[in-house]
Amino acid sequence: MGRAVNVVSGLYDAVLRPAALVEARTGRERQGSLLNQLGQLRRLLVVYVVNLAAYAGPLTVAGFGRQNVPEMPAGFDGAFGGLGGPETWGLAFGFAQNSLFLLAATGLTLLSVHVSMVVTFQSNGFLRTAYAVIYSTSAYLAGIFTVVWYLSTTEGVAAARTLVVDLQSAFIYAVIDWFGADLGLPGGRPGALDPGQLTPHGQSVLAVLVVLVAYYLYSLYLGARINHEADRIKGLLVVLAVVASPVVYVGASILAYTTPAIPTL
Amino acid sequence: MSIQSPDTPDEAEPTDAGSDASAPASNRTTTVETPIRTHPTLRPTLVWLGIVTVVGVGLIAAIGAAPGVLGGAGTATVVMRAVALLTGLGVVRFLVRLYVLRQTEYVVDGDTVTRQYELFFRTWQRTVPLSKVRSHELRQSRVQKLLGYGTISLNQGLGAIELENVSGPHALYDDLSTLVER
Repeated sequence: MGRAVNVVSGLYDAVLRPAALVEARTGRERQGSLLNQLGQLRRLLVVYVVNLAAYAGPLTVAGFGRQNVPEMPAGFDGAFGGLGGPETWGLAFGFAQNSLFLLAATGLTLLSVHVSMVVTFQSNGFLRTAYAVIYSTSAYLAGIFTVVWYLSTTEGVAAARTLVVDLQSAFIYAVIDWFGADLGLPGGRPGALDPGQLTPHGQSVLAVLVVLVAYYLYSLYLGARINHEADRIKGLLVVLAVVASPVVYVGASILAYTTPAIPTL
Repeated sequence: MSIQSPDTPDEAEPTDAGSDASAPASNRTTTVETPIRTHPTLRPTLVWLGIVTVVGVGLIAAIGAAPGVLGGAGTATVVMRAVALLTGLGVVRFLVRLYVLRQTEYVVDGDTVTRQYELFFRTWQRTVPLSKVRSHELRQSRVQKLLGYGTISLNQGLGAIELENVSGPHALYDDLSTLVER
């Protein structure tokens, strides 16, 4: 019963009180000793892993991420008290695949937010950044990925699905062109974006996606203002840093692909 | 002690701790009649509810009248639905807050300060003994001053209790200061 109340309370905060969701508990009390802070960090990681499992688990069980599973390592068979086997290996690989995007996005957000706080001499510690980022990614970023997954699997939203994919491709190609790199995506350049073909269902799903993105960025803004006592300008800088982080990520990927490997002797 | 005057639209919003408003001359009474029972004012929440509704409906009407600004009917419809959803959520949020504020009561007696409210047949209560109060602060931004309310914080950073949306806060703050210093 207690857990159910916590879930309802969490949903209530996520939808109606995002400031309460991202406020670091240490903001209300003294931070305490290093041991105390490590304990809080551990509890945060538990929250994140549970939410990650809630997001990636159903996808894995439904079969997503379990295509092209590599060969099971020899030591895995019979490991973990006899649970290790081909089926478990497939599930574990699928879970890792499905978690990867959310993990990468969380790491990128954590880095962007904390670096912008440190650079503006506003940081009140990594733990406070972690509170805001872990709760906001668990709630809103996971929601964004869930909506994208819904678009990719549902009938009647083909135009919306194509629009979202084309938007992402157009963004990546914009960064590629800015670097002047000779790279391309497997699907090639997208055609002109055409929102005129959207069905009412697709329009509603995209509206939910827009709202989730707005919530995600707003929660990070609140995290900076509440947990690091940043002013409005620095809060906006955090949002800009997070918005710019995919550009940095794609740019770094392009450089990694196009920079010649250092020859070994 | 100084009275800070940040801009804070609502309880969960952070404050700008940059204003240097000086404390008005307080008329501290030596005797305070207790218990003092007061409820938070609904005025600021009603104002925000009105603003959110008007801005949301206005945006939807503006987009509907000129969909070409956003690149066509398809995009305009998506944006209108997103604005409608955000406006609806905002309205619900402020309605819930109004309900909670109506159920909230602040009680100051000779020994304790209590903030309590009832919700879904449960009572939430937070009490701080006056003897344990180590700091107290009145925050009133420019907007709050205009609307005649403020927030009184006790023991900020030490297990704080906040009395938000207090109407005519200086009187209550003076009474609390008298009781704490006694």
